[in-house]
Amino acid sequence: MNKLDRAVDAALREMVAGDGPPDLRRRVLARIDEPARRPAPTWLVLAAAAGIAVAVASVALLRTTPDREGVTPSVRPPARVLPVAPPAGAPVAAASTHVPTAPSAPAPFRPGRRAPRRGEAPPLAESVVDVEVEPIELPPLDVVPLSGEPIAVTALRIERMQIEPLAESQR
Amino acid sequence: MIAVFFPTSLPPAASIEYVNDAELVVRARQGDTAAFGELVDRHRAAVYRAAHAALGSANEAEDVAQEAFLAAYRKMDSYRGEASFKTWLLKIAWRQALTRRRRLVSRWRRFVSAGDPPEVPSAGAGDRSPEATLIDAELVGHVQRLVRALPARLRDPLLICADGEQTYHEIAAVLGIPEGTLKWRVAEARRRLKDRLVRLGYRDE
Repeated sequence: MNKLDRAVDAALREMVAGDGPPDLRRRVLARIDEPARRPAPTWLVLAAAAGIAVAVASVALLRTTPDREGVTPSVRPPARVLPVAPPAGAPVAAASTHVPTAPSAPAPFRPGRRAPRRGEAPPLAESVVDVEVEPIELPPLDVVPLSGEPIAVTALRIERMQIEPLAESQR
Repeated sequence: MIAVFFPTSLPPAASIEYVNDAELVVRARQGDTAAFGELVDRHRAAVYRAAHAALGSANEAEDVAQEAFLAAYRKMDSYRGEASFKTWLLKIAWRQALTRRRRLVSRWRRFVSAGDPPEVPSAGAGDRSPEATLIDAELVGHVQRLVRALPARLRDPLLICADGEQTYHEIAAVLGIPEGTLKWRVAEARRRLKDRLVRLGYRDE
């Protein structure tokens, strides 16, 4: 073995020299006898989990809001607004089979498809084109006229009052 | 009056000095802390040196050795005897040492500028072995600086093998790499060290 090999060996042995602390056994056994560390209480774990869930939900909501600038709108079919059935007894409006739709969101960007230019109507989503919606038929409403007995109103009569003048001592 | 001594009925105290590791592990699992203490004594040096190889600091290595033994005691049920107890223990110590090293390096990086590599504490001049004193104190100092400058994937195998008490097979299991890779890394590390020493003007006589 040459000089450099011997130097390398000597340097390495120096760098990892030692047998460890002689009282390691005592230290380890003392730690073993210690009571185990108590885990975090359940309520703390649950509170932390709830906090994380709220944070994640908030971030997810913010990311799916389509009106923000510079954010690609989420892929959602346009929501349909269905007419609400009028309450019984209310005057019947003209029954209409027209189903209004909410303004459609711009089509999401898809790789390989040309993005719509400004002023150009965005293509409808395939799900909107293909779906046929049957008109909602409302049953005719029967309006019963009000029938009440006539009310007799008695004339109000006020008795004449007599006022006596006060005596001198009462003034 | 004549005192008569009768032999006690107590069985002779079983010595654990001659019991092998597997039997000590069985006893330790049953709650025999003395048996585990014997395991600590037997493998203290190996665990400490592995931690020292990873961390380069005696104080940190002592802490890691202690934590490694505690972790081994708590995980004793997961030891299935596929490797020797020593190898299993060294794996735990090595993982703990690497975790500690990552934490230390990230702490250093907060204070040291990005260009400077983290300085691993070195053995002081007072720790110099007689062999190193005989060779050349300056040369040994150069080698140690060059070792610290090696990438971790070469430095770690080189240092952990420097102990000389573990086989390549055991060390490869501890580091989680194939034995051939381990041998190549050790040889490559030594070759680089000698190359750089020659460039510094030392002759390979």
